[in-house]
Amino acid sequence: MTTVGEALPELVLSASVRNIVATALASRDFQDVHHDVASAQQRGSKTIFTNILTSNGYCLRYVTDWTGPEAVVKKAAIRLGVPNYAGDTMTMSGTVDAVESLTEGELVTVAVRGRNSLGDHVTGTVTVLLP
Amino acid sequence: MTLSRKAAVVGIGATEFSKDSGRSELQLAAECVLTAVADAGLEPSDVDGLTTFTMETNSEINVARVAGLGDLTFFSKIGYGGGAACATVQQAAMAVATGVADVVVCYRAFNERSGHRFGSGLSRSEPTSEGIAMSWVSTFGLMTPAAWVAMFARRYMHEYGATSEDFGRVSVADRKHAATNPKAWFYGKPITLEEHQASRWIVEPLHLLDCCQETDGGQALVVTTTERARDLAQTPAVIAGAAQGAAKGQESMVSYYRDDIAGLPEMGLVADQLWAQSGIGPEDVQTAVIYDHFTPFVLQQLEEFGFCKRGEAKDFIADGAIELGGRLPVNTHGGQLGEAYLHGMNGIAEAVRQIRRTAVNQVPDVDNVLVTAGTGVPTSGLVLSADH
Amino acid sequence: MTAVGDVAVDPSVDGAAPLVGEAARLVEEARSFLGRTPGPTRVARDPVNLPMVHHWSQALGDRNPAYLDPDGSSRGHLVAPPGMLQTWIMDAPRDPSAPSPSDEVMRRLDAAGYTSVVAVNYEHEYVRELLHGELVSVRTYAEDLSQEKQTALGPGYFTTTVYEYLVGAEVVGIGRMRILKFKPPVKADVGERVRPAVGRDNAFFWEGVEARQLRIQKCGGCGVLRHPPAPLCARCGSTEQGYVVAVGRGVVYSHVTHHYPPLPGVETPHTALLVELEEGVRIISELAADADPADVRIGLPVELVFQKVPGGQLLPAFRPVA
Repeated sequence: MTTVGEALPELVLSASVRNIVATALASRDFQDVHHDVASAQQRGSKTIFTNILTSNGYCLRYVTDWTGPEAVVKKAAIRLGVPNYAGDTMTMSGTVDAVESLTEGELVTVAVRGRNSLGDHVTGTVTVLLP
Repeated sequence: MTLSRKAAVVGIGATEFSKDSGRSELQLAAECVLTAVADAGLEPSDVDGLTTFTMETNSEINVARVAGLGDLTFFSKIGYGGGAACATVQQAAMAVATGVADVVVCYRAFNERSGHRFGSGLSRSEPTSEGIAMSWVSTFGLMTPAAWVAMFARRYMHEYGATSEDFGRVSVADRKHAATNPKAWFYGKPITLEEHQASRWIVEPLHLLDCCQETDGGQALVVTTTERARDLAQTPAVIAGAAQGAAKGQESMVSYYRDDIAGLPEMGLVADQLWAQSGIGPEDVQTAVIYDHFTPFVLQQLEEFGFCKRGEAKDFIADGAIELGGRLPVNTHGGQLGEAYLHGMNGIAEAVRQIRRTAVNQVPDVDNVLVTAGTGVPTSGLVLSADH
Repeated sequence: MTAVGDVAVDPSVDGAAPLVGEAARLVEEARSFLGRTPGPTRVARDPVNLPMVHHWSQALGDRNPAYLDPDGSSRGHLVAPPGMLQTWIMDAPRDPSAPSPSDEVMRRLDAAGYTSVVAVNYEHEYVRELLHGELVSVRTYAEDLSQEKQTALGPGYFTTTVYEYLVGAEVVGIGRMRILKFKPPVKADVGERVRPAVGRDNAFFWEGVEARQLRIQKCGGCGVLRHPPAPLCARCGSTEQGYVVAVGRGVVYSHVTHHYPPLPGVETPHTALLVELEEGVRIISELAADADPADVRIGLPVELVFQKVPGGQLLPAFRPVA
C-alpha cells in the first residue's frame, strides 16, 4: 500500500559526455548540441547538454526503478528548466503525490525533480498503475 | 586682371626614379617637396600652399606635417588623373597672383610600380598615408565624427570650465532660429536646455542634441565679378574676404598631438586672413554663420575669431548673445542642427540673404556677415559684405 | 525541437507592446492553423524492436526487466520503454510538401522574427504499452498559441504541438510539447574590430604590439620622440628612425565614452583615451576591459596593459594605476 508523502530514494545521474551522447543517439536525436561541443557553444550554450527525450526517460526510469517491473506507466508531465550540461551531476528526488485505488490496481502519481548544480533541470509528475 | 606673368616656377625637386622605392609614398612626397624647396633657396616654413591631384594618396596636411612645413593658407586638388598636372601649376599661380599664398608647391608622388599598379586592376597594396593616419584612432574604437569631436570637447571643458549646458545653449539658439524658418527641418520645433540635457548620450560628453542632422539636399552659389554683380537681379553679397587654413600639426578631425588641443588653430589662421583681407574686425560683424556639426566647436570658433577671449565663449553666450536680438546672432537660419546639414553650404546662402536683407530671421542693419566652414579639418571662411 | 535553452523561462510575465505590421499579420495567420485536422501521418522506419530497446536501456541505465526479458514481469511478453515513444518516430520520413498545421505555425513565427526555440513542457499520456513488432505512426496539430510574452530569453510566443501516436488506427499515446518561440536577444556578436592599416611608416609599431611592447618612434637624426610616427623628421628632416619602448605609464589627457551608433568590434559603452605618456608623446588608446569608465577623468594616472578586443586582435590599453 503506497502512501501519499512517501519519499523515493534519491538517484544520482552523471551527466558525463559519454552519457549525454549515448542517450541522445539512443533516442535517435542527432542534433549537434547533444554531441558536438563547438556547435553547442556556437549556439550560445556552455557545452553539450542532455536532450529532452532522455530527461523524460530518466524520470520514468527513476519511478519504475522504485516500483519494479509490474508498474505500467500511464502519464508523465515534465517541465524543463536549466540545462543539464556535460560535466554536471543530476540528482533525482521524488515523493508520492497522489494515490487512487482503481479496480485494476493503485494509480500512483509521483512528483519528481531532477536537480543539478544550476538548479532544477526537470520537475513534474509521473503516474503509474501498480496492479 | 590677367594671370599672365603674375607667377613663376622657382624650384624643382624629385626623388630617384625606380621600380621599387623601398619607402612609403608619403616619404617620397615629403622628400620631393623638400628638395624643390631647397632648390628654390627657401625654407620649408616658407611654404604656405600645396596643390596636387585628387588621385594623390598623400593629403596636403600629411605632407605638410611630415615635411615640417608651416601653416597653409591654400591647398587644392585637381581631378582627372594625369590631366591635373599643369593645372596644379595654374592653381598655384592663381594663388600667388591673388595673394592668398606666397609660396605654393605642386607635388605628386607614388609607388605606381611596386605598390598599386594602375594597370593591374584592383589589388592589395601598401596602405595610403591617409589610411594609416585614420588607423591610429579607428583601431581603438574612435570611429565617428561625434567621437573625434568629443575628445576635443572634453579637454576644452577641462581647461576652461565649460559644461554640457554651455554646449546646449548653442543647440537651443539654433533650434530657436529654425523654429521660425519654414525651410528648416525643425521648423516650429524649438527645444529647451532641459531637453538638451535629457537627450541620450551619443559619445560622452556629447548628447544627441549636440549633433547636427543628416540631410539629403543640395545648395549652389553663383559667383561673378562685383562689377558685373551690380547689373544683375539681386543685391550683391560682396566677398570681402575668403581664406583657407590648415595649421601646423593638422590632421583630419584628430589633431590630438599638438601642444594645445583646446583651440582650433586652423580657424585662427582663417580668422587672421579674413580680418586682414576685409579690413574689418569682429566688432564690425552683425551676424555670423558658425559651422555647427557639433556644438562644442562653435564656442572655440567664437574665440578664434576674437568675439571673446580664449576660454570665455561660455560667458559670451550665457545671456543669449548668439540668439536673435543678442549681440551676435549666430546661425539665423537654424544652422546645421536646426535647418539642414549640407556641409555648410546652406549657411553661406543664409549669409547672402542677410546681406540682401531677405532672411526670415533678418538681423537689422547687416553690413558684414562672417561664415565659417568645417571644424577639426583643414578649413575655410568668408566675410560677405554689403556693396557700399 | 529538442533543444533545452540556457535560461529558465517565466511564462507568467506579460505586457509586451502590441505587434504592428507584418509581424502581427503573420502571427494572426499562424493562429488560423490552430485546432485544425492533424497533419499527414508519418510512419516509423522500424517497428518496435529489441536492438533499439537495448541501446536505450544501456544508455539510460534503465535495467527494467519488463523491457529486456520476456519473463521479467508477469506480462509474459516484452513491452517497449514508454519513454521511447517519440524515439520510434524521430526519423520517420517527412513530406516537405505536406506541412502539418504546427509546421505552418512555426514557419510563420520564424518569419515574424521569433526564430529561436526552447522547449518548456513535455507531457505524455501512454494509452497502452507498445509491443515488439508494432509499427508506430504519428500525426501532429497545433493546439494553442499564446499572446506575446516577455520572457527572460526575450519576447516570444508559447505554442503547444500535440502528437497523436498510432498503431494502425488505434491511438496508443498522446504527447504534448509546449515550446517558446522567441526573438534572440539583441546583444549579439559585435563583430570584429577594424584592423589597422599597416605600412612602411608604422609597421614597427604594430610589430611591437604583437611583442607586447608600446614603441615610440625616435628620430635617428635629432633624437626627438614622436607619435604618430612619420617617415621624415619634421624638425631635422632625417629619414633615419628608431624607436624606444614606452615604460607604460601616463596620464589621461582626454577621454570619450562611445554609446551610439553600434560599431564593429566595439562593445558599448566604450571608453577611448588620449593618454600622455611619461615619455612626453600622446597616443590614442582605450580603457582596459576590466576598468570602470566612471573612474576615468583627465589627469588620472594610468598604466599600460595588452588585451584582446572582439575579433581577437591584441591592442594596447590603459587602466587606472592601482
